[in-house]
Amino acid sequence: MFKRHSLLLMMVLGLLLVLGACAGAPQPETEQPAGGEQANQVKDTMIVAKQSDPSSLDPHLASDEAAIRCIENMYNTLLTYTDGYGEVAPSLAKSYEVSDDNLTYTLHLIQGVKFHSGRVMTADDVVYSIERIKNEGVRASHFEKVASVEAADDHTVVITLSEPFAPFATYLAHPCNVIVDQDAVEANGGKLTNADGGTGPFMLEKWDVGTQLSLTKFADYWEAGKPVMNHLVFRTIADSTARSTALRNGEVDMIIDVTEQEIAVLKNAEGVVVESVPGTFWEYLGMNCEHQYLDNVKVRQALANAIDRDAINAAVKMGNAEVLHVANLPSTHEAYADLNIYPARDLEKAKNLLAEAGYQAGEINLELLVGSDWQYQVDAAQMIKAQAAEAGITIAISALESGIFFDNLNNGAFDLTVVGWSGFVDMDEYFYNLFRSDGAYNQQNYTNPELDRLLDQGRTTLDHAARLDIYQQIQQIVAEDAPMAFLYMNNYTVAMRDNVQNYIVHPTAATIWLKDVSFK
Amino acid sequence: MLRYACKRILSAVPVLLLISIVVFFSVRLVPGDFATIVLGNLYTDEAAAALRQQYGLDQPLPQQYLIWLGNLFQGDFGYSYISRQPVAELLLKALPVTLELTALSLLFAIFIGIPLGYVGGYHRNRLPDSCVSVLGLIGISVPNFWLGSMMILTLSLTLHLFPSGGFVPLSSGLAANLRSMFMPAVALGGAVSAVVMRSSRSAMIEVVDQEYIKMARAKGVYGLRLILGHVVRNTMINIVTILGLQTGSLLGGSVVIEKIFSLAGVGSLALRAISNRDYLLMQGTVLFITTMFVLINLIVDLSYSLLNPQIKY
Repeated sequence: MFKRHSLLLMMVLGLLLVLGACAGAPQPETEQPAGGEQANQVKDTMIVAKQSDPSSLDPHLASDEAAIRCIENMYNTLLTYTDGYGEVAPSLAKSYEVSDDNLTYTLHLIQGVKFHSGRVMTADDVVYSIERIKNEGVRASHFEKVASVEAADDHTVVITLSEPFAPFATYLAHPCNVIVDQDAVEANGGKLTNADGGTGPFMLEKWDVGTQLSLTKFADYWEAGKPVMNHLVFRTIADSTARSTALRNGEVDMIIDVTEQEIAVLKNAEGVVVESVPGTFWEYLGMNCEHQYLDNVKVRQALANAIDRDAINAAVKMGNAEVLHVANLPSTHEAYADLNIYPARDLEKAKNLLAEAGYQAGEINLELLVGSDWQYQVDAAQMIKAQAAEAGITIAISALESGIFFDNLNNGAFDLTVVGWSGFVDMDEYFYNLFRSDGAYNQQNYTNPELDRLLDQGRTTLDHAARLDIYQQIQQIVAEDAPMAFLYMNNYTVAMRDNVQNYIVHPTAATIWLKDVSFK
Repeated sequence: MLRYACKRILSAVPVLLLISIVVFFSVRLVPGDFATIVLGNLYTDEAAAALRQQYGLDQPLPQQYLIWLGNLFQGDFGYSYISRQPVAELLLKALPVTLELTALSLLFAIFIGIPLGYVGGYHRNRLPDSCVSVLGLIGISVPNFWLGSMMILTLSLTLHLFPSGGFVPLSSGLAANLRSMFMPAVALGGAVSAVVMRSSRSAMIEVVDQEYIKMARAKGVYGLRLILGHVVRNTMINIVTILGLQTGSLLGGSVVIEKIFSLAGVGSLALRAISNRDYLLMQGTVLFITTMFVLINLIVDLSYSLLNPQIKY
């Protein structure tokens, strides 16, 4: 009897020992002031909550939103976005000149900029970085017109293009087209996945994958007096309600991706400020133009007229998004064409178009693919299905897991899809790769020689007024040809504690102003 | 018994090998690979081909499997494509969260579920039994994510008693750690204790009608002394079996609770690995969870001989 009891006792003791050992094992550290206990202390740490963890910290490889938001605080670009949408201003390049033939850009770098390792940045680092962007492929298209890039001296870079390229200055300001430290890249096996090779206001302190990224102030940052905060923490809180609860509790200071459902809750919360601006995340109904029914423009136009954009906006986005009545440019963009081609749902016109195309009601059956990870796109798809049915087009919805969804999308294995793009600034970005015949992201397989000609002209014309005129025509063609039925442009919303000051909410969701932020 | 234990451990090896094969091939057969996920909408064939080559994903599948298996036997679990951190390190970081959540939920189940079950079974078909049965039904029926969200709203947001999420490790203080784990443990433990409650109730019903209990009563033993002395030991086999099964599934991580309370445990690690097609991390995590299950089952089976001396291996 005694022997049995002691064995049991030893098992229990063993379990306790295991638990005790785990107490000493390395664990993720999180700051947890519950219920605003630390509210009265001087805060030198800014905690920003977001939905996802960065996939990587390598600026030239990362393409997900979460990664870009972290990277842009650790690195600098040659030019930078300003608080106005579409404008760029000097950053690492304090000034630049463009030659009369628009082919040569001469950039003058700020002197004495240091990498986080302490080494001074020179023009050779700029040359290296641009070459690396081209080699890594993800954003190589931004630099595809670059014929050569050379260091004229330690602080001057000369970039020569093969042909005039209007969006080039905007691409130089993209938060991922940064200047990296070659030594850091080589010391980490060619990748900066979890290493820091930047010149930015904050440097990498610790990355607890899946939990939070901790950054600390770079004392030798080239902008005097910046950054203001000593520490910047990006905390990953996947559930939107948990995120907004943490903000309301004072456990985090800012949320940079507020969902539509949480806006109402946060607006009524005490001590919380909500700010919305028109954003750059637009969503659409994509149509595979090589499909047997959808290759007929009248069928596509029928769908574009059958959907009720205002109703979808009201139901899915609580009316907070801006409905797109023309193409994908929002009214805040300087090149926006006020053509109002799809003012409202026109069911009669949709039915007539379908009849003109030679199809009877119920004859057309289409499959709509949507990513199940994005509930708002699934909801929009459901509404589109109901609205199209009234026009005589039958749609079956397949909500797929994101990996499978993108696989199908990229292989053209879809009839219809509901998906979105974000982060575009220059008008060329909104159209060239998406709608040109051999465009890198032309998943719709859309082709129109007249549009191709205009797109090529649009990116090689540097005269501003002429460019705007070209893009007016482009928007008209894209809207009428309807390879996509454009739904809406989302607002971008940030919520923060009311003691946070000097932050700018930018349409592109850029967070580079975190270096200016402080507490009242 | 030692021989039996060794035999069981050895027989687990082919099971684990088979599972490793299934896990390896099944996830690679799903459409959408690592390159597709990482590039997302910015997918081009060139960029994807370059990525696949970098990670050795363009080699034939059997070859990739053998490379992974070979590394495994040398103790190298591989690394995460996403963060480049070793899989073993990521698992070790996620483990304390899941272990503590499991332990606390089990404690909840043992100290609340078992006694309540005993009460219900002892006073079968009378008022205490009805109350216990209703409690058990509620515990099983209430979704743990709803319970977790409700607790956050009331206990954290309104009453400010507990933090709304995040894990405070034991090294930062026992009080802070228990505060951060209280709500998740209750949310998870509620369902576990309801299952244990029902199991201990039925075990109690079975035992209480036995001849030896009547004999004990006739000798004047009743109440708590009767239960502790004569009933507990005899109901333990059923209860330990259920506890073992619950522990196995808890150690696999509770993805929903981990998401609601922002706990970086094994469940979220596995889910993230699957969503990101982070193959090596996924394989390592699934293999770990399977091994835990096998070990727990072994411990439960061995415990039978401790609980019932008549069982010998």
